[in-house]
Amino acid sequence: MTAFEAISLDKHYGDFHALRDINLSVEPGEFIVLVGPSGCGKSTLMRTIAGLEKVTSGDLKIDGRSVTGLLPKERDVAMVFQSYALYPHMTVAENIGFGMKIAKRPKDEIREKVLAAAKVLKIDDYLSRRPKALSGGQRQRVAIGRAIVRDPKIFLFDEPLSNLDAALRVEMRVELARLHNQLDATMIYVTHDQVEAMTLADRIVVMNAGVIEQVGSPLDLFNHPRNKFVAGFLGQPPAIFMRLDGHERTGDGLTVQFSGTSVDLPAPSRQGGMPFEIGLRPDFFELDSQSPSLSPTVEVIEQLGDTTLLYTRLPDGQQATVQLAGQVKAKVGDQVPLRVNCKSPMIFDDGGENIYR
Amino acid sequence: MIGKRLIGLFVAPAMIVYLCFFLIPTGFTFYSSLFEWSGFGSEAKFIGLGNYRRLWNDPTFWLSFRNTLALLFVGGFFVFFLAFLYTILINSGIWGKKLFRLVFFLPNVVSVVALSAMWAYIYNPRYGLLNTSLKSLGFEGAGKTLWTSPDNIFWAMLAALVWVFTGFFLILLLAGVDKIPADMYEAADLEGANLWHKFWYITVPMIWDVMTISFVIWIINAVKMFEFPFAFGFLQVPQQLYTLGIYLYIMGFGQRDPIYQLGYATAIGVVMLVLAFSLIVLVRRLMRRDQLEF
Amino acid sequence: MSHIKLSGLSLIAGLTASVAFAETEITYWSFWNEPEPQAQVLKALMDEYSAANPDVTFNVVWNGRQNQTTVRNALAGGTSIDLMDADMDGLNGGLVGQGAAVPLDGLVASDSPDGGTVGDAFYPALLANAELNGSVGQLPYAFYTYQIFYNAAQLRDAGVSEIPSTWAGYVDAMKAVKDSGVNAIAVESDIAFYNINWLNYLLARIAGPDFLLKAAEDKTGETWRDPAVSQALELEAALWADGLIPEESRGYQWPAGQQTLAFGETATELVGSWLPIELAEQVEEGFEWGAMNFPMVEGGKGNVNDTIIYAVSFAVPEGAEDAEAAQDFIRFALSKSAQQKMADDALIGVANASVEWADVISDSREAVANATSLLSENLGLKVAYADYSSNIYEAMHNKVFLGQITADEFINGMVEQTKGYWENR
Repeated sequence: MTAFEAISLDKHYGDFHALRDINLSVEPGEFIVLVGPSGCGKSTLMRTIAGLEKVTSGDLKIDGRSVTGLLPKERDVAMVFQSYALYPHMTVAENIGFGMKIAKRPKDEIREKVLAAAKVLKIDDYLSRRPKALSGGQRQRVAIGRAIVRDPKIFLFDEPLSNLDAALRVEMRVELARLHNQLDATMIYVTHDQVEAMTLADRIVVMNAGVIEQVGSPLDLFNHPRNKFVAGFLGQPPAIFMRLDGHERTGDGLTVQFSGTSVDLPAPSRQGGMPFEIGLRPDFFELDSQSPSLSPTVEVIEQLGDTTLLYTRLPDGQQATVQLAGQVKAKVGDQVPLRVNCKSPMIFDDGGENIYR
Repeated sequence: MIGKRLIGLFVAPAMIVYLCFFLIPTGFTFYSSLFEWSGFGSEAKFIGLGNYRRLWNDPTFWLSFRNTLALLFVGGFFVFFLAFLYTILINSGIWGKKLFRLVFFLPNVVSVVALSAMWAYIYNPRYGLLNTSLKSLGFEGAGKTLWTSPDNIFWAMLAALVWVFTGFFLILLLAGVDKIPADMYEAADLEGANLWHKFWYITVPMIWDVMTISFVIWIINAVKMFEFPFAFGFLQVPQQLYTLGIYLYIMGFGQRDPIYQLGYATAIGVVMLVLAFSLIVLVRRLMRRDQLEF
Repeated sequence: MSHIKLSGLSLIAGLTASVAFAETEITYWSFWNEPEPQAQVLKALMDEYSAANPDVTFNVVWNGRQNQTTVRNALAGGTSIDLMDADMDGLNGGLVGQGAAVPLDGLVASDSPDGGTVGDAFYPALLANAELNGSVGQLPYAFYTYQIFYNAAQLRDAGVSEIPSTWAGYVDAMKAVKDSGVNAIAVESDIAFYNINWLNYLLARIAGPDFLLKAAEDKTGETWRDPAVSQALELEAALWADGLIPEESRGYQWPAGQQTLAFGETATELVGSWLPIELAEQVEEGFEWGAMNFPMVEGGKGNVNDTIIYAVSFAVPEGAEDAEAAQDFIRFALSKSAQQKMADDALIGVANASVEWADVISDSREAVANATSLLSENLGLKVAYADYSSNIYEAMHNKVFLGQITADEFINGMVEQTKGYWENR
């Protein structure tokens, strides 16, 4: 049985079509990340799952049961809000136990469950504090604790880390991954941060303009993006795209020309339309002082220690982001000798579809 | 220390204004209440606490005092009961939030004279809206109630007054509620909270400060309540409607009787001031709480 | 028009003989609101006066009914006011009673432009009311009478051929009206100063007009136990018991009661002579107004011709810069032509006895002409003990009148409160 299923979901806000024909099914215990730029509909989708928004048409199922017409509280889902939505006048324990309190559960049971959740999250020392006496990370844990005590069928996370500073975000990310393993719960997670998506997800759902662009495992999406949007969205720094100057199909492959160079690729996995653009991730470039095929000029250098990022410009004026292993000694204005090694080729046809997926 | 001096310099204008426009007049008011004075040219006569002794023995004063307390507490109960009820309802996400806000607030921008004329029409024993509606709903007996007979007129006035003031406090409370982030309620929805839970566990604690201010404003309004009951009396305010404010006016300025006892009226004013001040201190004490951050 | 010109001429003649006013501005604070007909008449009179006396102009502030209070506060603040007006009892209890008004005895004795003295032109009983402690501090120019106003057609239809002058006759007449299918007596429940006239008149008729003041001044309060009081209360209570005043009136807020007269549902109301004017817009064409004197209670000590009035007077505040000019204007405003204009345009009773009143209140004029004495509101209580009059007497009466307390409770209450009032003074 699927833990969650969306069938032909549509959502309109007046004239605005926020969700278009969303179909998605989630397996029990899966960690699903909804990712996409702002306004893509990922939060709306999550809120319709929670029941905070009504759908215009379509059906939602949780554990095989249709919940489309049910109130939030009847859906047995818990949600962690971006702002945490903690009650400032309640202590940590009261915040975590709020749902049980209004359900009139016995006090002992509430105390027990709150303590158990707090231990999991390592906030058991702060139970009598008010939210304002907590750090951002601690507040985040309280918000998660509130979800844990309810033992819901699905956990929903709405950009839960976006209010934390970078270091804490990394820490909490790991914490969340650990928690997911520990609870073995179904989690649906919304973010616009592709790193969170890549690191946390069992499967990523990339959304754009109310439509699901692609669903799949992080590496599958990274290596075989269905289209230019997915290719550009995943990967940091982002892939660059260059117009093809020409292409020819050979017996067992495809040769493409762009920016004064030519690259041989294996045969495309599907026919597709007319090859139009090539997608190049920064690590597709390698140093080659013997027979460089490209020699762009360095405009900005970023030394990251283990890798070096070069922001360069090709002779025909196109920009290329280049990521090289190790510490490359280069200066602004240098011409770096490079060759292209398409580890997982991305050629987009005139419709923006990848013919190597 | 220069810092302290500078603070003094900046605070001084406000202090001077406060002194000139509040403390000195207040002191002068109390001082005036120690005199017997008609306000016409003749000399004011110092009588010490004589006016207060007279107040103590004056049945009309106690009647006005009781009415003021009834207005303050009974009226206050209904004003806030309704204001909270409407807050819950309007905030439950029904349509027309802005319309309701406007409708409830409307009485506050209409002149009290027009309002009392309207209520006189509602309460009219024979043609009144209230009795004709009751009769058309089949409540023949209730439809014959004389709402403005001497036994009922105070409560009839109070009901109209509650209607006027509810809108004002509704606006205040709603403004407070609007500042509560929507996701607090959404989180509560997911936790299974009903309207009452959300109101009691989220709304009330989170608009605590607004409530405190609202109570204080109500106390001030109720203790000095004048216009509405006065207008409700049209030609002559019946004694059933006397509040401290009205009695002060009658004694100091006459309504249609040449009662010109300014010193006595001032003593009533001092009582009102003390009453309002002690109630405000009490309310602020009872409702004191840490500042919330959200 | 010709008589106005004439009076203007004679006025100029009078003035040149006495005082020449050089560039005078009379500051007048008025008891009327500007849109009221009385104010319009006064405006016209001031214009006329200024036309005849080009050096005199007016600076008018229309304050309305709270004029005396406003004047008091302004005087205390040092504002100079030359002329003001207010109700007669109010002035006697206020500005005049407090000795803050210029005595006008000289003006009363001075020559009137119509011949004779200014005082000669008054109804003598009215001028007598203006006197306080042997001196005249105010001069009334217009007034209302409290009488039983009625719809003459309805009385006729009920078979009341003769206007009753005795209480028994009155009650019979009202019963006949009631039997004819019309409510007999209209009452406004919340207006204590209307309802108090039942007791005022009954006490005046039974025990004489001095009784009330005596009762109030009795520091033991025991005078309230006089049989006259219980008799008066019984008589008025019987009006309710007999259904002559409909029970529903207990809920009437002014003007609900008087409107039943306009709608033809009720035949009579004990009220001031402003009623026909207030209802002028609402009554049907050809509505026949009548007013009868409050009937005589058989065996009483009072006089059926005594009528309670509510008058409006001019007064000149002490310290007025142009007191002389103000008095000259008062003289003009009391002249026959000026008073005629007031009577014609404002439909109000006027002080000058030679002036005819408007038709709707012609019965009131007759009552005044026949009156041996005119009584002030609450038979003088309002002037002498205004707080007692309003807070105790009127308030207590309204309770007993509307059946909130019994007659015994009223009497005991009055005894107690009168005693308390004097102890607390």
